[in-house]
Amino acid sequence: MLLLKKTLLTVLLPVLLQACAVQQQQLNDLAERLDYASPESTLLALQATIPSQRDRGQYLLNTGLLKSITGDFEGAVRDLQSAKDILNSLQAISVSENLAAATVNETLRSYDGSPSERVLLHVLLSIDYLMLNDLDAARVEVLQAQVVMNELATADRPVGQLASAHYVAGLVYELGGELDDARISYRKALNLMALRDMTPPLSLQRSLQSINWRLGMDEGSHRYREQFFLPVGPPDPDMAEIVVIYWDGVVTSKRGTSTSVWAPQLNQIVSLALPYYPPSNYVEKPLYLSIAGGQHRTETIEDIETLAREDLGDESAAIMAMTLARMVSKYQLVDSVKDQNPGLGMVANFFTLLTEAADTRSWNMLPSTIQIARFSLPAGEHPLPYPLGAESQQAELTESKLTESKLTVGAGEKVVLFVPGVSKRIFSYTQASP
Amino acid sequence: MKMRIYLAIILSCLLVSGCGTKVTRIETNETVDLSGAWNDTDSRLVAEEMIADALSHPWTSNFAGQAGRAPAVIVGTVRNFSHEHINIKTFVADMERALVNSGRVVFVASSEERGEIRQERVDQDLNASEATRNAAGQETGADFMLQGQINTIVDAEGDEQVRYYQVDLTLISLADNRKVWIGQKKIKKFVENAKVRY
Repeated sequence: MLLLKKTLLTVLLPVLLQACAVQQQQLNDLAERLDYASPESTLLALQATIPSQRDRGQYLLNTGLLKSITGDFEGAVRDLQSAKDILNSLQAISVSENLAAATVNETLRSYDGSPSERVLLHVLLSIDYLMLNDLDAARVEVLQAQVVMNELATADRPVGQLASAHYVAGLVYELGGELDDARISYRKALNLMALRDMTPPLSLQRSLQSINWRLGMDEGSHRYREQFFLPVGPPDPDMAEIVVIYWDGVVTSKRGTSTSVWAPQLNQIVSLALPYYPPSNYVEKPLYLSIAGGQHRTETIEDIETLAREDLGDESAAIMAMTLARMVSKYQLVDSVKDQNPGLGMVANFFTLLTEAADTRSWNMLPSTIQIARFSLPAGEHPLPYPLGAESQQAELTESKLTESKLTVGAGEKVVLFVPGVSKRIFSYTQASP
Repeated sequence: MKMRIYLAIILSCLLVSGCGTKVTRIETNETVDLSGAWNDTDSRLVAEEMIADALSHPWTSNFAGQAGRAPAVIVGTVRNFSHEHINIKTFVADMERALVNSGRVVFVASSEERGEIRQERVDQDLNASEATRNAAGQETGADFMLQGQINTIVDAEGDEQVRYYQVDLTLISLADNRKVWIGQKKIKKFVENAKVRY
């Protein structure tokens, strides 16, 4: 009876774990197809899968994102809030999951998101709430993002510190008339980009200068004017201000690499598997918008390809330590079985090889970059043609895919356009009249 | 023996599964803090404090003395500036109920609510009998507007958080913009998140 149980376990466990690996591979394939398949079909395909309880956070992040970019903002908020609850509940160290990671593999941990993903979750929720015309709820997410960033902050590295989160915070504060807080957030975004050696977008500089001017901080305006060579003046009361948040591409999915070698001294095959990011094939494609005779171009404020690799790099020491611990525990397991029965020892060795798998889970439907633009438009109705840039996509665009083909703006209004590149749609929020 | 231990560890790790849902009914005034976030107890405490404070001040009697009737109040904007998605309507509804039941205040429909009422009145104009029809232009105008906001300060370090909530409500006279009552309730919580889970 005991032998039967052992045999069943030996056969079933690797099969179960391989099923998980296959499901993750399917998810990675779906994410990679997102750049050219419709997000609606990707969402349906994703919803047809049944994620394990420990992968539920990752599943909800992806369904929430897909709902956001297809305009189902209420559904997106539901999924992303559930994902947030799950991720928050998993921040405590799990005894059973650590034991499983040390004896079987890392995929037996519940998915709790990388530092950047935890912040980006709030960024996306802020955008979703804005598109639902709920500025107060967007502000809640902005504050929660700041709490998470404060928790993640370290003295030596900008782990989980996102310029895009500060930019969206500045925007939400600005839309709510909280100019002091907006100024602080825009400056934090600027400082973070400098820390990461990124060129700050003109829109960010314009936002900061505009706030300085409105706060009457001429000294600050003067300094930024000299630093960024931008003309500065009071906002034209007859013009509307347009802020574009553009998501370009789909972030690279993690891959796993595994090595199995015969160790003669140990008289066993030892195996280890580690996650890695392959080199990115992403080529930055700005969005060009031609409105009211002006050409406007987005610029990158967040490079998620880089953030994903930074997060994995920060985790690598812990992953390596756990992999070594697992190698030792598996060796001891095989060794003890072999002492009792050499034949069963071989089976046990085979079992340890089959169960070794890298944790390749990530929020893999995020964009490769977050880009922004800010410009003024005269009050009135303007045709809003979808992207003039991204030449390769131009041919695929059809009028029927646009949620808004015309943009109507009033004098002094602020309008936020959310443009997820993969869904080829434009969503908007217009600031309520003061 | 060693192998059994390993197998037991692996099995126990793999077979961790949730137990069935268990529901226990509790009193609505019983305090249950689960996450440390704003909950029904906070909402109730704010409502109780604000009601007691609002009724202990002379603005109602002053108005009744001058106008010869109970003041009519309309609920304006109560904004959530906190770190949490708080349902403000619960304690505002509690306040409305207590103030109306006290007989010293009349509440009129808010701007959100009256749209539907006016629509119904238009419908009555077309479809209701003369005897039961309610005419337009007979609404009670509000004398005061209730406005407010919830603010929070969160100080977090590692697994520990101090959450400070401040709820401010103000009654403003629509006749002359005077603030006739200002209510304030502060709540402070120390939240320790678990460092280890099973």
